[in-house]
Amino acid sequence: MPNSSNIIKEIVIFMVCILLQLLLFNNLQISGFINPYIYVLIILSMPFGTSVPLLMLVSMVAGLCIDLFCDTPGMHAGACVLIGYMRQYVLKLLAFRDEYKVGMIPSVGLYGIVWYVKYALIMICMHHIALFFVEQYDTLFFWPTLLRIVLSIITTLGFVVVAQFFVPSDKWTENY
Amino acid sequence: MRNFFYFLARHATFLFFLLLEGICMALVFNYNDYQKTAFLSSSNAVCGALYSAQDAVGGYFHLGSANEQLAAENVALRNQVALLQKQVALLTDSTKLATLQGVEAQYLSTSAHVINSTTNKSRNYLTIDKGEDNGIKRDMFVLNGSGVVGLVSAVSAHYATVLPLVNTSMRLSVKLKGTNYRGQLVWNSISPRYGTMVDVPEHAQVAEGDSILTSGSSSFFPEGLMVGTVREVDMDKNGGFYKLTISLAVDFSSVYDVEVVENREMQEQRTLEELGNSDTK
Repeated sequence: MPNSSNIIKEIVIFMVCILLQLLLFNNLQISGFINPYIYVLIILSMPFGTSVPLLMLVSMVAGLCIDLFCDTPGMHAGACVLIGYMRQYVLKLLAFRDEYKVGMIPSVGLYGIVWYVKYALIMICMHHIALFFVEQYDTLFFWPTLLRIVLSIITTLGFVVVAQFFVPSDKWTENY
Repeated sequence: MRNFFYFLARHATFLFFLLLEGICMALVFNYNDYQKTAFLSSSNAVCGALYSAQDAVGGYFHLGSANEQLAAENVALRNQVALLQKQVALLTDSTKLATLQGVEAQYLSTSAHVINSTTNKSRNYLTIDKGEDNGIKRDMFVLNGSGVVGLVSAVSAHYATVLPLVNTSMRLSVKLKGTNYRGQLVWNSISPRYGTMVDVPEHAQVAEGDSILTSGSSSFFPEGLMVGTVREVDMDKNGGFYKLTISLAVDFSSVYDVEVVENREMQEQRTLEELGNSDTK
């Protein structure tokens, strides 16, 4: 069950991710093809056992915040709701013999880097493909879009994994 | 009936998911309606204030006073060059001298600063620091010293959102300078420096380096504003039309000082066009 310290932590993660996305990553000019959307970390970092409707609501609010500033109403929100809903199945797919530690925040520290990269990669792929597909539904240019998706997925994944070293990890040692 | 409620209960999460996605997609596909309200866009007060603050901090970080001075000087010089070029062009083409007087009365411009912009997405927008209180209205066009920047798409009291040429939903009617061959300028979302001009008929004479100007066939932009130059000439795969790569005149990655221009006769022109349309029906 989410306890109060977790809720505060989630709110901090939420605010920091949104601000970083808007003020830093939206302005990052690496190449016209790379748009890292690191704010998906908000959805990735919701504690295990969060109810799916709540997860979808948080995802939608996060997406709408980004949409508001990017003038793309509904696009980010739609992609976020999708991965908010799909997270339960991704977790099921990557499950261990033991149950997930309910109330803990998914992180590199908790289940190791391999598990986390798999988890993040699947989620980011779904998010980016849905997002870029909706964003470009009326476009004449298919190949640039595909290249953009692939490069952005890789960059987002990189930043999300690096961000793990800055997120205060749960006290995982006592669980081992 | 009972089965129906069982069904609802069993699939409540999935139905909730569909509901949320439905709301999102409704937002996406009704975007133009929301733009009118300016509430769901970066020109709303909260977004504008954040971007203003970012601009204040960013300006402080990135530009030392010397740098700022150089930038200002650069803009002034570029504006002067553009003005002189225009004057030379008008003098050499004496038939346009008559329209020049009309232009002065028809257009009214306001200067503004770009406080936020992106160029790396496929739907890029600019936010400027002038809004309704400064006389900015929807559908006004935006220029800088180099050429066409875009169109005002949403306005709040103190801020406005500009739809630039580097947005995949922007379609601009353009023509080759010195001819009447028209085409559409679209953006392929690859580089903010280049656009693509399509629908130019095969029999038009095109060479690299030719200037591309606004055609004036939409009521938004007057004829003859600088858009860019031809960089590459290709044929459309289906044949019959050119597909031209255009170097855009405006450097969208560094656009800062802009002019927002009101076409005071746009309403008149539109009303007239609508009248004409309803007659032919």
